[in-house]
Amino acid sequence: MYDLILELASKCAASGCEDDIRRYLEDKLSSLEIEYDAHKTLIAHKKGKSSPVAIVCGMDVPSLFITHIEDSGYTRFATLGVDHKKLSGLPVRLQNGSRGCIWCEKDKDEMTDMFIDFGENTAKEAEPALIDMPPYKRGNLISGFALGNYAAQAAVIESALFDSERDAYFVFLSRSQLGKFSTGFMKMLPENTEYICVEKSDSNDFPGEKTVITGVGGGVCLRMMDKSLMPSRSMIEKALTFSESVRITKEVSKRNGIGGNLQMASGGANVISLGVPARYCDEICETVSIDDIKETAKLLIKFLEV
Amino acid sequence: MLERICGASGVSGNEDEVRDLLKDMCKDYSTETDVMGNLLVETGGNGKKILLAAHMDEVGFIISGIEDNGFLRFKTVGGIDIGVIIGKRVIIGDKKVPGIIGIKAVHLQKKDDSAPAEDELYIDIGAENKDEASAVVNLGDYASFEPLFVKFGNNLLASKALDDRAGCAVLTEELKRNAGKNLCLAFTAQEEVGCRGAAIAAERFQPDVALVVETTICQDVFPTNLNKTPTKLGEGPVLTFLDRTSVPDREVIESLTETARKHKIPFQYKKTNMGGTDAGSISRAAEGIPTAIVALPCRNLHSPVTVISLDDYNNLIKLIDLWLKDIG
Repeated sequence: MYDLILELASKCAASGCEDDIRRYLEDKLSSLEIEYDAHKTLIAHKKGKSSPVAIVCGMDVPSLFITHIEDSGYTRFATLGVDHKKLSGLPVRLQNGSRGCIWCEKDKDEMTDMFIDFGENTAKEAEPALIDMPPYKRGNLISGFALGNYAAQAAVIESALFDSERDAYFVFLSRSQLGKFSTGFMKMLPENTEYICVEKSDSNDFPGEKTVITGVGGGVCLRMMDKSLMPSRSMIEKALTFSESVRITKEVSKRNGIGGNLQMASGGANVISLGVPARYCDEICETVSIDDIKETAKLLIKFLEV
Repeated sequence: MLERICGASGVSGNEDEVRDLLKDMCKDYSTETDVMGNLLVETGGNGKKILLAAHMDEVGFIISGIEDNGFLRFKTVGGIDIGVIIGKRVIIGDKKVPGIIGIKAVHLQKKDDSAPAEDELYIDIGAENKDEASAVVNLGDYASFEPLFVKFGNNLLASKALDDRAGCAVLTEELKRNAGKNLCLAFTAQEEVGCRGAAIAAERFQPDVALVVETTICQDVFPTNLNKTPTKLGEGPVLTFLDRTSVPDREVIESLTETARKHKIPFQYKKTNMGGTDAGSISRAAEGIPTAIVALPCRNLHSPVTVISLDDYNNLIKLIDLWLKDIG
């Protein structure tokens, strides 16, 4: 699992510039039938029996885009999916291998006050820049930038590679970081498809929190609702029937997940959302547990059994 | 043509006048008006189905009250900076009643740095009392900035509503130049109040690719720091790779940059992710539509005096024309 996370984290997955991760996923899921929608969302189909299910996660991760290169060579940027105020001091890299670090003008904190120092002028306007923090493992935990995103992707990949019998689609959404994304792929799937979203969940098992709702190591989070989704009750009940063999934590999330978009699209769909608990969610160094990723994959596989 | 398009009233939700004008300009082609008030035009030619979209609505005002003394109260429609509109001339309703946005005289105001609230302002149409005002203005009437059209400086143009009548004018020009292609034009309604019309237009057309033709933030007034200058007037059409409503399609962007480089047309990238356009709604419509944005840098957006460079305008027409020819 750790190797899978390392591989995922080494690919460029900036929104709209996902060719690198797309190629990797195509290779990884080559035993499945791969299709793309108009937004290049990847749909891997495993033909099977019974009513279809789609397991959906984001393909892209929070990223930076070069907006301007100063005459001095310092490079300005805009962010998507990450708070620029948290980036000072971090290393970044371009797809051509150039490495740099982020800093901010003195006593300022606007995004336009921040810059990347690549040492030489190798960046191009509109190009993505990636946070250069490879994940690292300590016991059962993995930490790193966007680890919650990679953990969700890893759980979906694990379930896709499992030898199951149900007709299943494994969907990796393109350009999902903006919050609103194209649900065009749903029109390529059968009308009666059930959707299971896999995302990251806020874990609050750290000092200062009086009531720990979701903890790293607690298993997979089953979202009872989030900011945009009221999940399908029948699918929640079905998930809970697996709680004897899978560790499941019920969660009411304040996040704006991907499920709401799916639920309201294509005339409405049955949707639930699962989360891999991540400590320090949306911060620079998210931390997840390998066991939780495995539990998430295990629950997905339960849904894939006919 | 641009002067006529900019001069027409068309505050979001009340685009009738500008739509009628554009419809007349496109009368040689198949046109329809959908339920949202979008004007849709099709050439029915061959090749890829390409949607060009520009919004025809403008920011403005809606009359919300008539005082006993004949002064009008109003609400803004779309994103308007209250500080910008004080003392500006407007025209109200179908009768085009002239009015002036007023506020308590500076001598009577308390010293306060904050901008006035909307309800401190009023529109003065010179009426003596409520009856006189009610004879020419109704509650719910729309008001727009008074038309103005001035060429100045180094081939610059100032007008109301260049956002996005300049885009509409570009579309009509592309229609003339590329009538043999399979073009769909959407002059969209209600962009300024949440990009509402575009989704419906895109759903109706379901094109292979879409290009949103817009105006965009230009703050090159005091360019001490180019990083804080999202675009510059006169440096060519603007390509957006990220904004608040969309992550435009990279392949479409690249095809546009290729055309620009091949034909030596200047272009610039937007150096900020602020702002939003119809591209978000269009790209998510139907089964997902590869969509990009190409825009004119425009000073003083959402004000009575938006400013563009006519060089940029001509380069934008050229870029889209050649891009349409390049992509077949």
